[in-house]
Amino acid sequence: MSGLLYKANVLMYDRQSESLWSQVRREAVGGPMTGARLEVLESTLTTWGKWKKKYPQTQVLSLETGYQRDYTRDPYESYYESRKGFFSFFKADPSEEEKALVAGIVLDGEARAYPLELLRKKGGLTDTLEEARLAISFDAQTDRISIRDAEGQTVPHVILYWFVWKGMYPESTIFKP
Amino acid sequence: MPLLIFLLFLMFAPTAALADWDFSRHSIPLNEIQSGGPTRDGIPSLTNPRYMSARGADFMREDEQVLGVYLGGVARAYPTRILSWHELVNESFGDLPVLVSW
Repeated sequence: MSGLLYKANVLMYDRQSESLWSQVRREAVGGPMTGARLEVLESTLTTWGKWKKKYPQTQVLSLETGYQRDYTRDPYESYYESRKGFFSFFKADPSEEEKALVAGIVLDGEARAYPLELLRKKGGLTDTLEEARLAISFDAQTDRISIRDAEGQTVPHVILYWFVWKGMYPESTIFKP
Repeated sequence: MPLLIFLLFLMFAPTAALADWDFSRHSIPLNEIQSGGPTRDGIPSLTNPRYMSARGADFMREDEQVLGVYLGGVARAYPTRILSWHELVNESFGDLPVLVSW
């Protein structure tokens, strides 16, 4: 990590060109690679128990990382619980939780966020964005989130706090039932 | 005096950090880039890390959070309590280079 932040979000750097890449924007924003984009691949935020059940052959990252760290605890444990975000300069609407976890998508330049709590409760949603009909599904067995358009094409999403997404995409709307 | 030094640090630290990078090209306003606290590599990323099989992973609790990736027939779980200390894992799934970021 570069140690730099843009809009309350980390800037990563690559060792080849030392360009700076925004994690949430998924593109290089400084240095020789400026403008280059990263492709988002599917990942699932879940529990070890559910993941292992779905993929019994799974590997798991070893504690032998080459670094001495106290891996018995997550240094952000209290941050996850707190309702206030780090470096937040965005004032959430009183009806919104700034630290609500959302799945964020950008479709034809339009940004939209789906609260995970709502997805969990409903199991699935449908939405229309930029004239595209979207099906958002959440599988409680695996915690997998899938967002597809009418042609069945996957629309890649990232999971993050609402204030980080809104900070990066101020025009973003949040899905409300 | 300590307060003044702290204020001076706040004023100059971000600039000092910015000077370490090549901004001959950039697509965001430089005055909106902040110093995050840790220095460059202050949070060290992992590169080509080691794995264990699910059966051998006695250190894992059933209810703990993982980021799971399934690609090209390979499933890998990244416990977030490890990811939080490193934030980035430079990975490959077969020939495909993959960056896991947390």
